Amino acid sequence: MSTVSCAARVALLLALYAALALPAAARGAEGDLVVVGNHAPPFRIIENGGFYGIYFDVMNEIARRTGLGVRFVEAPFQRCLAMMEQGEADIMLGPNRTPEREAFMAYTTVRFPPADKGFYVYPGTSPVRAHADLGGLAVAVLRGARYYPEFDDDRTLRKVECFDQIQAVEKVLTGECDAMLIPVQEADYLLMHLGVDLERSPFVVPGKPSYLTISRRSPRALVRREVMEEAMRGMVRDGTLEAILARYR
Amino acid sequence: MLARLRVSLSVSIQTIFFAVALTLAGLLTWYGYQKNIEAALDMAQDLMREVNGAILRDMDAIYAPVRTLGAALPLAPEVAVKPEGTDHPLAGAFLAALDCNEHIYSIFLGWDDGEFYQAIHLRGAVAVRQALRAPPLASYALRHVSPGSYGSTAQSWTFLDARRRPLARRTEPTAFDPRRRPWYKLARPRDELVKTKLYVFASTRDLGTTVARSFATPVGGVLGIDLTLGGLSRILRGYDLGDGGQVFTFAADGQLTGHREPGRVVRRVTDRQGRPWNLPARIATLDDPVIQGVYDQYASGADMENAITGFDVGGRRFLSMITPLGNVGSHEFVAVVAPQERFVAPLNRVRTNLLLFSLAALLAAMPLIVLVARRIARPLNLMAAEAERIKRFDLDSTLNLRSRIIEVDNLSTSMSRMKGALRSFGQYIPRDLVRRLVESGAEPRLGGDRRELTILFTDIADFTTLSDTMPPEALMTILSNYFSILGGTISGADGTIDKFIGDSVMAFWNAPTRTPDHTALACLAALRGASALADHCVPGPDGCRMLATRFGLHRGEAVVGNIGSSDRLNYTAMGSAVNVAARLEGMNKFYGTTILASQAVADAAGDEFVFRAVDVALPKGALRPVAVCELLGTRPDGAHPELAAPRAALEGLDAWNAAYADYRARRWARAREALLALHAAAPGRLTRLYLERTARALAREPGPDWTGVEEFHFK
Repeated sequence: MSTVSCAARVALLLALYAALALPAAARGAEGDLVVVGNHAPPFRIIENGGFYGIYFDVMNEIARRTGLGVRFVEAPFQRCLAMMEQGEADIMLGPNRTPEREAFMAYTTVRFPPADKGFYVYPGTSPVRAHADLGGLAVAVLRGARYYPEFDDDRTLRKVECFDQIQAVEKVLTGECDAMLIPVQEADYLLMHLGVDLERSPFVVPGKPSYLTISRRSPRALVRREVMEEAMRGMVRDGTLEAILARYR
Repeated sequence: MLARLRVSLSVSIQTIFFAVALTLAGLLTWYGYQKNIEAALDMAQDLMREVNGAILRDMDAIYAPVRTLGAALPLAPEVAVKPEGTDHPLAGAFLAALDCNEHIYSIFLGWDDGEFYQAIHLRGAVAVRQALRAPPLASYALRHVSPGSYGSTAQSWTFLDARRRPLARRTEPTAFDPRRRPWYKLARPRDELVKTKLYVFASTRDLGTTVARSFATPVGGVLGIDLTLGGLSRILRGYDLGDGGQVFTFAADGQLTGHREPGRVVRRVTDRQGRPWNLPARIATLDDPVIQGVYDQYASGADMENAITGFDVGGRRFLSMITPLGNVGSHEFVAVVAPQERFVAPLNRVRTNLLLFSLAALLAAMPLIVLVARRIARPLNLMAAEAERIKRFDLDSTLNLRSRIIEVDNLSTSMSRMKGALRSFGQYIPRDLVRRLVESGAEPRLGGDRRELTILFTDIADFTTLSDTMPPEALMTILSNYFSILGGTISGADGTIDKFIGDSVMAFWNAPTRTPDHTALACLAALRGASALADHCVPGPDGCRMLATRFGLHRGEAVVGNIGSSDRLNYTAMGSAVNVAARLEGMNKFYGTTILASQAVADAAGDEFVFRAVDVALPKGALRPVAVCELLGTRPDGAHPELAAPRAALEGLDAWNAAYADYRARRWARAREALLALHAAAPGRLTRLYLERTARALAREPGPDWTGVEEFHFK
């Protein structure tokens, strides 16, 4: 009787061990941090089976310096935010800081250079020299994006929402819109790809810094926050960040 | 409360059989259909996976040599050599490569100092020729872009025929700078083969993609190979997934990168000055809900890479599967989508046909089902009828029922045995009474209720003498036959036989079943009994005998019900009315009559019957005298002429009534005179009795206290 009880106890302990140990092993196998982003060149370039661009290159360098395992996942911008909110992704590269986003994302001190935003118009048409020139113009904007407070909060302006920047270019070309508002670097990259010559107006809005953010539902990424921030500081100090930026100018 | 629904066994069996068969057919059809659907979906999944795999292989057949070229050519030392005009050491190799792969539009070198050299295969594309302003017979174009002094850049064109002989040359200024092109931006920082997303070629304004790799020479640069979309479209056109089916490729950001119609991949836009532009087509601008459905599934996070996913468009169900392009592309997928009906439509037809066939087979089998149901139900119906007969205590018939169903056969046998047992048992109980009790619904419990009854007593005249002169066995036989005759007349008139007492029978009417004309029925029973016994002799072991029987009838209130103990009940009537009936029967001997009835009976019997007054008598033990009548029979013109009173009796009835009235009125002489006449015409005990009474009265006048009541001191 006692032998049976002992054997049963051992079996139970083994089962408990297996139940506790196996998931841990499984977790270890998929331990890479999930980094999400959309294709927004030159900041985030997703081509050739790889993730390039300023932000992805920076993230790769941080990962190299800290020994972090990262896995990049492409998703539309709004879905990236949803993944962060639901904890399906650990890190997102490049979102601006807003109170709503801070509710589910921790903003690190790893800041990317601000991306200035410019108004692009059809060649030969009146350029935008100041915010006041926008009155009466139809401006193509990206759905869900925020630009600068004066523009975002101005209800009198005619903003035409587009599902992507190519549609915005199309609307400016066809005259459906008078201008499109887009980060300058992204516009240069996009227009080069499309072979389209739109003119950048003199009125350029200074961009806000964008950040490396961590999902508040990702404790394993949150504990590596300091390490990542120190790596970024090192990249600024030794000129690595500048070299990456130069690569995409 | 709703009436309980009752359905016959036959209908129940038919309904149940039909319902079960239909349900089974439906379930089997449904199960088979589900399994077939699963198999069809597995087949669809395999097919889609196979199509995707085949497309990938086909695409790889295009890209593999391109990758080989893209990886090998940059290693050639000649990439460091700058062109002389449109001549370059690699020009021959470039043109040979263009000839070998119809999907390659051009091969080029772009250096870090802004120089650019390109070999283009024209392949008869009119739009390309127009864009390049190529001579009609030109097959190839060689292009050299050379940045000049002071920021000016010139490009030289040399057009070659099919034998690579120069046809024309042209030099013109250009703003082209290879360092601003997407392939350069992507490939130059990396030491690996890259492939761009779709972009607009600068020379032709067409969409295409470039496979490129950097090279490190004193003046570094990038070697690129341009691919047009025509090849991919031709591949996709090779896969037909039927009406509504599509095969296409798309990028994760929603850009359509491959379509069987190459024009769909390009969104052609005319700008505000009428200039045409080619932009990459995005799925959202295609106005194709099926392709949009696939992309929506992908964007929603559905696992489409490992299994098929379904979605609805315009009421149609579509199945789709995507496969990453892998090493021939980046973040692009090949998608296969087809309407589900392509895979399950034959199954739907089979399912419908199977259901219709099952229904038809079931309907065809209905006559057989009805027949079987009736055959099963028939013995049960027969047994139910038999049980009903048993309930009525009709135990005479015999049920010879055999069934192949064991339970039914056993039940039939048991019922036959039960009936036999009851038949034996019934010999000892008043069967008719029990039947009536059952029919009346009365509970067999102790106690009774007061009710107006008509009571009959019978007795065999001179039975004592008979019993003294016959052996007991013979007496029992003849008595049994006698009771059988008499009991039949009583039961035939709805009477209840209470008991047999020696040679007497006691019976009553209006209990347990109420019969409004119970007195008339009792009179009929008495007349029939008297007639039967007067006309026929009762058979016995040593011949038959005439058994003269006397009847006494009285109507009055009595208590009728069950007496005895809880385990043995006797349904009977009790009360003075019963005693009076018994006494009346006994008075027949005194008056020389056959059926004596009380005045209450004569009053209640109705005009159908003929009575004559007999006397006013005080039966032994009674407190009140009873007017006694003789039931002579029915009226000849009535409903029962066979029981009509004798003609002589009817003819003398008025005279008798007058004589009887004179007697009651103390007119002795007049009464006597009439009686003498009556007696002379038909001598009888009754007229003789009254002649004696009138003689005594004439001899000695009765006192004033004379009542004319005959007191009986014997039973």
